[in-house]
Amino acid sequence: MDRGRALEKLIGEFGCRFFMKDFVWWDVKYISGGKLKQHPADLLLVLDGECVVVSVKGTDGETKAPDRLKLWLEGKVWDGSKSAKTGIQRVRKLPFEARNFGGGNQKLRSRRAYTHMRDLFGRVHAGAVFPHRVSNEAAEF
Amino acid sequence: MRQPNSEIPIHVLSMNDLRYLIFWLGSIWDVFDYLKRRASIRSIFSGINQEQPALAFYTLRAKDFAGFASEDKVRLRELHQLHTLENLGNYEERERLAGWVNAVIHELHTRHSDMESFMPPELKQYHEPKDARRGYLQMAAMLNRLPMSNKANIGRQVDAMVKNLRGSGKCGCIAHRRLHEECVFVFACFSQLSRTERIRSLKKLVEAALYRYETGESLGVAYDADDDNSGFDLLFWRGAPLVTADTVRLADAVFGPPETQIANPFGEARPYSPRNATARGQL
Repeated sequence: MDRGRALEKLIGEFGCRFFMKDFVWWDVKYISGGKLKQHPADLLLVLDGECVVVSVKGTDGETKAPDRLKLWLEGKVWDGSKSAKTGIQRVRKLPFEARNFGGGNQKLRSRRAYTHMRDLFGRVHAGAVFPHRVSNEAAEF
Repeated sequence: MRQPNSEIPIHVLSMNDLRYLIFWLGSIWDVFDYLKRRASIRSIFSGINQEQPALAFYTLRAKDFAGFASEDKVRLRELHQLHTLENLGNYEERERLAGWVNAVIHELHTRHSDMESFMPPELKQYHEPKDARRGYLQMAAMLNRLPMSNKANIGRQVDAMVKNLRGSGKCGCIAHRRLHEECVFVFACFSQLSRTERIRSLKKLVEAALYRYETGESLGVAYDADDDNSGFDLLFWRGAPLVTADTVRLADAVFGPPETQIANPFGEARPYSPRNATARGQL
C-alpha cells in the first residue's frame, strides 16, 4: 500500500470513530518566509494541550524476500523517524495550519488556537511513525 | 531499531498495530496515556507488529510497563487473545455505554436552531452567539479526555437512570470528578420537564456540585429521560458558585459525601482508597 492510500485509510479510520475525529488534524502546513509549505507531518493528534505528530510511510508494492524486507524496513524506520523528528521541530517552532472533520472542516491555527489547545506549543509530546506492512506477523529488524 | 536521536520519544508502529490500539483502548485519552507510558520501553521493541504483548501487559496487568521487559511475550499474546475472546460482549457493551458520553461530544457541533426560545432569561448573558461559538470545543475536549473506563462508568449510571426515570416525572443526577483534577462533571436526567426548566435545574445541580466538591469548574449535561431524540443541554461553569442554604441542602440531598472509586475497563466501579490522596475525588 503506498503512502497516500495508507494515509487516506488512516484518516478514514479516525473519521469513522467519531469520538476521535475531533482530535485528528490533517493537511498540516507550516508557514516559513511568509509562505505556506506542505506537510511537516501527515497527521496531528491533539488532546488538551498535548500533541502526537504522525508520519506515515507506505510500501512500494513489491514483494520482498525476508532479508530484503528487513533492510527495507530498517531504511523506512530511519526515514520515518527522521520525518517525525523534523515534523515535531517544525510544529513546535513555526506557525502552522491544519484541518479536521469536526464542525465543517475547521482549521487549527497555531498560537491563535482554541482554548483547549492553547498550551500546545510548549508540550508537543510524542512523535510516531507507522510503516505499513500487509502481514500482521511480528517483523524484527 | 536504528532511529535518529530525539528528545521527544518516537514510536514505530505498523498501521495494523495503531488500529489495534485504537480499537481496544477505545478513547483518545487512553491512546495518549498508552503512548506516554510506552516511551519508557521503546528500546525493547525490535521491529513492528509487536504491540499485542505490550497492550496485554498494559490492559491486563498494570496500566504501566514496569516489569514488562521480563515478561513472556508469547504468553502475553495468548492471554490477550483469550481475554478479547472471553470479553467480546463486554467490549461491545462498553462501546454502547460510552455512547452516552460520546453522543454528547458528537452532538456538540450542532446547536439547536432556536436555542433562544427555551434558554432561561437569567442565563442568556452566558449564551455564545451562534457565529462565534467556541465553548462547545472546550466542552467536547473536556468530555473526550475522559478515559474509556470513566466514560463507560458514567454511561452505565446514566443508562440505569434513564431506564428508571422514563415517564416518572422525577429527576436523577450523578457527579464525577477525576482524582487531582479540577472539573466536576454533573450528569442529570429529567423526566417530564420543559427544556427551560431542565437548564435551570441543571444550573442548580452544577452549583451544588461545585460546593460539594470544593472546586471552581463544572460541566453539566442534562438528558431527557423520556425522549432520546430531544438533544442534550450543557452548562459549563467556571468560578465559585453563589452558595445559599438551598445549594447546601441540594448538595446534601443529591450528592452526599464524595466517594473515591476505581473503574475497570468496562466501567464497573469499586471503592478505592489511594494512599496519597484525599478522599474527595471520584474515579
